[in-house]
Amino acid sequence: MAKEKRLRIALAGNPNTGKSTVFNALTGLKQHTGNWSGKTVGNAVGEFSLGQWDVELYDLPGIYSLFSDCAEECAAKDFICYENPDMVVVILDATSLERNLPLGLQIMELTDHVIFCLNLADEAEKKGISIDKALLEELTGVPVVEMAARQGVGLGELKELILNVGEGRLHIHPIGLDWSAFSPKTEIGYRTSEFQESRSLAFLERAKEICGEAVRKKEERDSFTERLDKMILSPKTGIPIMLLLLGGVFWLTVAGANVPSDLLMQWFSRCGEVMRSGLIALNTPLWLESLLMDGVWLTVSWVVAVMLPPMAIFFPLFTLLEDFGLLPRIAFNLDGLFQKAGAHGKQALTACMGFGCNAAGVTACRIIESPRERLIAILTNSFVPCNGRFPTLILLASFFFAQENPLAAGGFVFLLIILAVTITLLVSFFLSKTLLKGIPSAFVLELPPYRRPKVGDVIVRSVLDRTIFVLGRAVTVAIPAGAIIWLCQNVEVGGHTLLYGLTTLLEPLGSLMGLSGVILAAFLLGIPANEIVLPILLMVYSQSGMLVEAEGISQAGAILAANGWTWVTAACAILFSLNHFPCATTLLTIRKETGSWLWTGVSFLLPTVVGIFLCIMVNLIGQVGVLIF
Amino acid sequence: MNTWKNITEVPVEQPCFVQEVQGECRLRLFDLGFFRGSRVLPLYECCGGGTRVYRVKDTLIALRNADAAHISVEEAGQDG
Repeated sequence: MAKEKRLRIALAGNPNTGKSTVFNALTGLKQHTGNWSGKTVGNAVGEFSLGQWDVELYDLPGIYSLFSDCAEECAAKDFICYENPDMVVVILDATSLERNLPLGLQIMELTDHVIFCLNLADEAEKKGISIDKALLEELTGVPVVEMAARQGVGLGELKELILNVGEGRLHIHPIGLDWSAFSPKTEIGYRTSEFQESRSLAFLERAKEICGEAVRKKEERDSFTERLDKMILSPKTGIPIMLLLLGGVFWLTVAGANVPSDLLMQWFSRCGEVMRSGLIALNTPLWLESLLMDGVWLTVSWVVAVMLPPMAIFFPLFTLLEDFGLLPRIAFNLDGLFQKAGAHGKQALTACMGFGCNAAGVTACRIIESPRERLIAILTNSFVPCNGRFPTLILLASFFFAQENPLAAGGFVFLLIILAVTITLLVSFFLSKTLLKGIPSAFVLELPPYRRPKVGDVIVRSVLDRTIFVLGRAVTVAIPAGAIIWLCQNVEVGGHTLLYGLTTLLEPLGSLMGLSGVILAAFLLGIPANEIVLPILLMVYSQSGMLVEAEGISQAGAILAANGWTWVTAACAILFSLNHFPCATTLLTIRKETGSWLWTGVSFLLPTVVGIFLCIMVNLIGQVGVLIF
Repeated sequence: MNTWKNITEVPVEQPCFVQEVQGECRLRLFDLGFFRGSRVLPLYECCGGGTRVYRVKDTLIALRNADAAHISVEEAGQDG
């Protein structure tokens, strides 16, 4: 074993076995764990000290086998073979040992230093499954620890075992397979695929054998999961329940975000006052003071105040659903639709995530294994409206289409969501038939049992992992963008501001689309965050030279109507808000996820072209309608 | 002798036993528990069809019919 006081340990296991929970419990590092497979994409590394040892813990991707040749499995195999960890701890789900054990048996063939962790021992007990630990140790030759990592049970024992093996007090001699049983019978009859098949089957058969001896099971099923699944997975009730749940999440997000948004805005403007007086005291030139305060600071505070509260509500709620085990079921329910669109079932999940924030939705596309379908999911993510676009949609729907009746406005926005999902599916279909043609890859989704979410954990994780991450990126973009917006408003060339020049340039296209140059310019300048599109518009209309906050729907609507907005303008603005280039944060994320500026460009153009087309159509129909009636 | 069926044709709630798995993704299907002798129970079909949930080796697995079509099974009798 290692001569210096350092141990390198790898954690391996099937998806959904609580591997990441064990990892977090050992290292204290908050790594995100989700109740669906394929969450651990890159290797996570954590450290903890054990006696006199420094332990480096490597969280390998969740895999079923070492031999099925997908990227994650190769990564895990390479790590065990070439990185030579001092020990491999294999996490086995005690509730379904027979499915988990083959991986353990395979790892035993690669290295002697293997420890088995029977995780979820508490759930197994509830299901009436008992595992003869001693017999399992005897049959495999590998030490076994029973655990319930979520409750912290068994961690001490695991650490002790690691220490014993690490310090050489315990030697492990795994009992491998009887290889002669399936070696190729003749040299001539040898074929690689046959060999692979019989090799895989040998591990599976051996696991079955061992489990047959060591596992006792009373015929008791997880009746809670079964009863709930009868409702959630049934075609009749599943979709309505799902819509209600998601509707509830959106409603809470939109309704709950207003007050904290206002408070944040006030706090930012007070801080701004202090900074402004500081700048004045320092004799800063007027233009610089205005650039910094009316440009950069105002934009940043707008982005933070408008984005932070909805994200801080949406992401924890979404993570709760995820932890509970609902997301894979939603993906299953919608798979009929996504399959017809040539897309991946998990795209339903990334699209849902996109309702919160498209940048987060794009990142979530990592859970889709096949590159083709992942790209479709990434490129179409911004077709679902994110939190940043909902305020605009709600305001326009409410003022122009619902006479400010909240219920009617809600219904209208709901229809818009259906429209957005339909367009997403149509575009996915189009992409899968043209640009990203190919055979749909296998769609395999494990539906884990429902688990009680750990609320504290969820809040910490969703705030740290998602909210802060997305917000940080948004602020990075907002700082230069704020300066640019200010410059457009305030720099004059030939007696006109740059903004005037921009709107004049965009006017022909704008009016063709039923909008105007000003509206298009607002969308363009709103690229740091969709939230600021409407404030920019109101700013231009009220000639104030800086972003304007509307005092309620009626006033904002009245400003729009006074500037020539009709219901056709509103309809086109809604359509363009649903279908236009993603915000800068999302674009940067797409660049990072695809590693290609080309695809980033496609993701910019695709929704924009769709939006321009739809707006022109609606405008034409609207004009004809106005002529007739 | 041959009463084998494609697993996608087995009605919901009818238990069956895997007889043969073919196709490129068969190793993957093996890992999920679909190999000769495994007992499988089809449970739910998604809205619009095309994907079903199967209970196999104490776990629920959703498979698209295009992938599941590689699995041949024999329906279990009354006591199965």
